[in-house]
Formats: sequence, C-alpha cells, structure tokens
Amino acid sequence: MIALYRYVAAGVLHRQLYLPPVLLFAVVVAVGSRGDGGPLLPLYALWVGAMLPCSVWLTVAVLATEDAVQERITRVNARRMWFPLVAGALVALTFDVVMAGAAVFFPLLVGVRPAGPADLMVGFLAQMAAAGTGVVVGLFCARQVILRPGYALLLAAVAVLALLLVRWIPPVNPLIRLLAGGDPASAVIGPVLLADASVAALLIAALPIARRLQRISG
Amino acid sequence: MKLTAVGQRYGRGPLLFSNLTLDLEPGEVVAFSGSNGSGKSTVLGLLAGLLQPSTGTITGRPRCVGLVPERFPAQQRMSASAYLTHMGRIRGLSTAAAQHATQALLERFSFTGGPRSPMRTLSKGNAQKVALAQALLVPPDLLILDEPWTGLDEVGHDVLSGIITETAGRGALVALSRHLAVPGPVVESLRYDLDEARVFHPSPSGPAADTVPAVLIELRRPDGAGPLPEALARRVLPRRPGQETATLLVPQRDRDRLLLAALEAGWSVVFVSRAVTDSNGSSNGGPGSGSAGPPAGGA
Repeated sequence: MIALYRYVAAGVLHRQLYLPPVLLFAVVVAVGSRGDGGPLLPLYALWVGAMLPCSVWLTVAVLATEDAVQERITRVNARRMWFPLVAGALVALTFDVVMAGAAVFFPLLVGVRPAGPADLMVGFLAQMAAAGTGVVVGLFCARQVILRPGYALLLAAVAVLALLLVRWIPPVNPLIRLLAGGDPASAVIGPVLLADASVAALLIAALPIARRLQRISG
Repeated sequence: MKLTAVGQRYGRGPLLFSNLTLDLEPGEVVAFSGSNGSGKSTVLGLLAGLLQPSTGTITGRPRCVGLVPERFPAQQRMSASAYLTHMGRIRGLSTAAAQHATQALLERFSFTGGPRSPMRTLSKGNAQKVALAQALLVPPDLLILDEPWTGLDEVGHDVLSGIITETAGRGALVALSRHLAVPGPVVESLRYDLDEARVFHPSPSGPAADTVPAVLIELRRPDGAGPLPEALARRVLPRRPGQETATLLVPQRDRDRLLLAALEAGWSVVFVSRAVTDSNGSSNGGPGSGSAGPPAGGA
C-alpha cells in the first residue's frame, strides 16, 4: 500500500491536477482572513464550508490522474483491485490535512486574534470532518464509478449543496452552525470529535461500496 | 484456470458472448480471435479479474497476473524508468530490485525512448515496450496480452515471441488476443474464435498434432538470391507492412533440412526461435478442451 500511495502521490504531483481545488481553498482562506481581531471559530466555520467542495474536487482529480488503461494495469499489479481506490483516498486526505493545517494558522499570521490550542484543534478537526465527507462524495463521483463527467459533476454539485445547506444532513451543515454559534472551543470539541469519528466510519464503509460500483462499471 | 459458462454484457445490452467454457492449463498459450467488437478484450479483462462475468464463473485465477493492454496511452510526465520502478515496488520488489529489473527489461526490448524522458514523449512502439516491461517485472503466473504484436518493431516481435515461449515454458498460462488479419508470429497452442464460438486446434489430424513443436525462422534475401524453395515458400507467414524479411513457421523436426535448403538457395538466416507450438490457424478441428454456445448477439 505504501508503494501504491507513493505512485499515486507522484502521479498527482506530476500532473498538477490538485492545483485548482487547492488554489480555490487558498483564495477563500486568504480573502476570509480579515485582520479584524474577531474570534476564530466563526472563521473556521467558513473554512469548513470551503473544504467540502475543494475536497470533493481534489478526490475526483486524484482518482483521474491515471488514464483508464493505465489504471487497469495498476489495479492488476496491486493484486487487490480496491487498493488503488484506497491509495487515491489517502493521497486526497493528505492534501486535505496540509490545507486544513495551513488554514488553521493563516488567520493568526495576518492579524492578532485571541486563540488557544483548543481553538486550533477544533478548527483543524472540523475541517477534517468536512474533508473526509468530501472524499466520500468524491469516491462516488470519480470516473471509476460514474463514467460520464456531466453526471459526475451534477451529482457532486447536488451532494455538496445538500451537505452545505440542508440543516438535518450531517456533518457539515451542523458543524458550520456549531462553529458560527459563538460557543467556546471547549464546548464544541465533543461534537466535533463525534463528527470526525462518524466521517471516518463513513469513509471506511464507502470504500468497498465504491469499489463494488467500480467493478460493475468495469 | 477454468471458465464455466461465462457470458458478458455491458449495461442492459445483449450478451457479447455466452456460455464460454474453457479449461486452461498452466504452460498453455491460448489466443482469442474474432472480429472487431467480438469481445476479445472483454475476455482478457475477465481473465485478469478486472470484470465480473455477467453469467457463469471463473475459478483458479493465478495470484500473480501481468496485463499488457493493446494501447498504452502513457500520458504521464513520469519517466519510463520511474514508472516501471513504481510498478515493481507495487508488485512487492525493493527499489533496487525494481530498478534492476527495469533496466534489464528495457535493454532486452531495445528500448530507445530514453528511460528518463517523460513517457508522454515516447513513440507508440516504445510506450508499448514499457507496457510489456511492467507486466514482466515479476514473472507472472498468468500473462495477458491484448493484441501484443501491434506497434512493436521487429526486435520487439522477436523478443515478445521469446518471452511468450519462456513464460509458458516455466508453467505460466499465457492468454492473448489477436486479429487474424494482423500478421504476427503464431505462438498459441489453442485458439478460441469468438465469432464462431469454438475452439480451434492446430491440425485436423487429431489431438497429437496440437503440440507439434515448431520454430520461427526469419530469412533475408540478399541481392542475387533465388526464390525460396517451395517447401519453404508455403510456410511463409503474412508480412507486416514494411517488413523486408520473410518469417516462416516450420516443424522443429524439419528445421535443419529447411534451413539448409534456404542457405543453398542463397538466403541469409536472420533469426531462429526456440521451439514453440505450431497452431497455425490455417487448420482446425472441433471443440476440444473448451466449448461454447453461439453468441447471443451484439458482436
């Protein structure tokens, strides 16, 4: 799996398909980090909202790095047909970790804000919940599962909008409202951790389903 | 490896083929032939485990499979040597072993594309050599080649023939697809025609003839040499476009006599292969180790 991860990561870096979603997220963070000295958590709520579509885009881009023919070769060489999908999800999550980590600290660089370790931890973990959700959506919108890019784009847009806007669909919308609510970090860390655990379980469950759908689509 | 009543359809379309039953033994070279869209590549995808059959079962697939596609797109900026090293590591080799195997295979294939050049700059033939090399980094127990003769130069043809013979010789199963209209050495010991849904044997004279050892001989005609003797001329295989030499498939027992006849006629010997199994498609028999019903349509 380490060899496969290295191969996928090298391919992604070579083809630079990660750039558009990473730049989009960077622009949101840069524009949103006003130096007004306000509390951090509402700002992190914005990062959570931006992380979701960027993570979906990133996952789809990572899984599209290889040509379909090359991808079949990689699947055969990996011996376990679902390993490349797992490696792609791990590479996308690696990018998400770097983006979320940078976004947590960036507001502190452009303005003095009252912040403690709990604020930073909550901001990072909340973004990672959104990132994991984005990877799940990206897995099902990837070319390996949905062959037609138009349908994949439509499904991704509907899923992202629903997760952002519909109040009763966890975890992104509830997390955004939680962080924007003005409560201190110590009061929200519990629900944020619960969201992370739920997303991790969702991701583990999604991989074999996506693999199964991939098998059907060839 | 056993295919039992295998059929395949895409989506809700008709079955591309149906009731494909084959019992493939280690050391066998099986070719799937047929017209465009008859399902040759689909059968190979099923053998590789990339597809689930719509009907029937496939059992006994070897663990180590090497897959060579018909067309290797090679759009990556990654170099050929880096790609092959990655593939070697994915197959479980150490970095040093993967690099060593990469270098040896690229040399064997007379790869001229520059191992450190981006793969997207490679010619079709060199990209195909990379595709072949990745399948052989670890000797596979099942080698799958989709129309392998396409795009390879003369050296590549010869080396590939040798690799197929070697792979089968060490007990691995080799499955390939081929267009009968596309010239290429005949290396298969069994051929399944998807259009006719039946197994072809190399000789109408019975099962014993299925395994007549044969060798590939390549001859060049120097200036002033006479025509090939009739005994040789009728064994010349179809030439590839631009091919100046003549390739012959002759029974191993007649090899020395026919080589002598060619030399006496003034011809020059370019290449003689090791023994392969003569399964020239010019002859056929009834269903043997496999059978199938008629295709249900859609070819």
